[in-house]
Amino acid sequence: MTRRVAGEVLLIPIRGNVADLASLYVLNETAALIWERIDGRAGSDEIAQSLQEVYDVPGDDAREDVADLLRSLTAAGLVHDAGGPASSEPSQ
Amino acid sequence: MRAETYTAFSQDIHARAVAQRMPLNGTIEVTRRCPLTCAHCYNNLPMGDGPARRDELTYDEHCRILDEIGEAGCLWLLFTGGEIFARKDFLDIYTAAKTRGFIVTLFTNGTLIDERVADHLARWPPFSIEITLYGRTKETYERLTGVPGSFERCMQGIARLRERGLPLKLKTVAVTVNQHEVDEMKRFAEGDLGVGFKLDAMMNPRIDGSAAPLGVRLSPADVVALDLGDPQRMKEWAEFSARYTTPPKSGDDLYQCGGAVGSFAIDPYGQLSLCVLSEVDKINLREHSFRHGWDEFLGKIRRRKITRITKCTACAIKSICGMCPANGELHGDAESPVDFLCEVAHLRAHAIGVAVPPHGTCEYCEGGASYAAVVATVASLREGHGGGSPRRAGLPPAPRRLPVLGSAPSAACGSGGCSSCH
Repeated sequence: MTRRVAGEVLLIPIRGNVADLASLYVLNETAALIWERIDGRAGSDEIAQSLQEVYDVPGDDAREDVADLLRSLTAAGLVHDAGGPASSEPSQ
Repeated sequence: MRAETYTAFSQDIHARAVAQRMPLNGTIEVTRRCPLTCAHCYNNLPMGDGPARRDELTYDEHCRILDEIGEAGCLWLLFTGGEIFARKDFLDIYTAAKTRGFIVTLFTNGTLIDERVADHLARWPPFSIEITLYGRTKETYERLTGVPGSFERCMQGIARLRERGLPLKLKTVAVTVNQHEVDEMKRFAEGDLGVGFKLDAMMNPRIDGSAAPLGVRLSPADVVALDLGDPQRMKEWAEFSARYTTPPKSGDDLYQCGGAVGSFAIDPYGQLSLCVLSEVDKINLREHSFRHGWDEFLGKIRRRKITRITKCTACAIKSICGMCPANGELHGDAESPVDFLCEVAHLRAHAIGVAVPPHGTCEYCEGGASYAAVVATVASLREGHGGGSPRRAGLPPAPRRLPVLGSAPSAACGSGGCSSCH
């Protein structure tokens, strides 16, 4: 669940293990945009492309940012591999 | 992306939100009905109170209000009662809050937590769930609750939450009826169950004006005896008071708490106020938007100034006193000092060695009519706690005042954590 509070974009786990609820995940604007594109269908290249449509960044940088965030989200258990070509979806 | 602990995040966002006057912390009383009939309670109504039940906000009204407070920036949400599970649709309201991304805490007596409720909470875990224990033995517990079988139901509720690994904390209200079992309740929570424990001894009149809770309230000396019985608690009080040894700079503001700066309360009937004890100034969210209530109504109340100088105005030990306008209103009016609170604060200050500068005519200060009694009482309490045995002769084993989990000690009202104070 994403909330915007006091200028922060927050990822708030609402289901799952109680341990998951012990942390908040605070996204910067770029990460928030990437998170909003993670729907289980869009691949990481597609998400990177949408990032480039908003921010003036080279393609390699955008892909790297997306990959970094996906790694962090996966490690936190907030997304999992959706099984498609390089696609992910929120875990809750 | 950065992961933060709740503590770090909370401190950071609160600091910024206070400057913006943002309603980060909300308390919603979903009902005042309760299956228990505790003598100390400030707001409970019988389960069968038909008019009260019919006047409670509906599920749809709750959802609208949740949308509005979320839009306004509320993040931390406390559901309390009465007994929250007395409402048959409480789990629906709770889930509506969870799906909207609130960080939810639940206050309950635990007696209505059956397998169905526990399973639902396991699927949608709260940030915290706090159960109030009224005694460690069936006899004491039910002497306070007035309901046979309630102790066993509470124990079963606790067990069900524990079985599911839910974030449980226990607490108690220390009153004359259960004073002698506070130590045992602490051992049960921290030792047997391994969960946090805290207590509150500051009972106040009921919000309907009844003084019934005062019949079981501890004496000021007994309240401070709880402090003295716990070295950690004393240390926390000393550190807390050392940080706040002068009256607030905004000394002419009537409200010095967090009410309507970063927090608010909504009663079962949709009335918005500064806190759960504040019964005088309310606005109905059935007729007004939360935004209007927060910006205009509560904003105006929050800007109120004191109308007269009292001994509280320049008092330097406000940080260890539970006096506030809402508590004052329950005793008479918003500004008149409440004698019980004043006596507790002065006893506590003397016990932790904090000097109390002159602050007007005060019977508990040096030169006042009751100063000698303050000195003698603290000396007597210290003597009772001497020799490594925190016990007072002639009384039941002295309960211990315990650290409030993750926060400074609370000198505030007995409402149990509305987040408005300090």
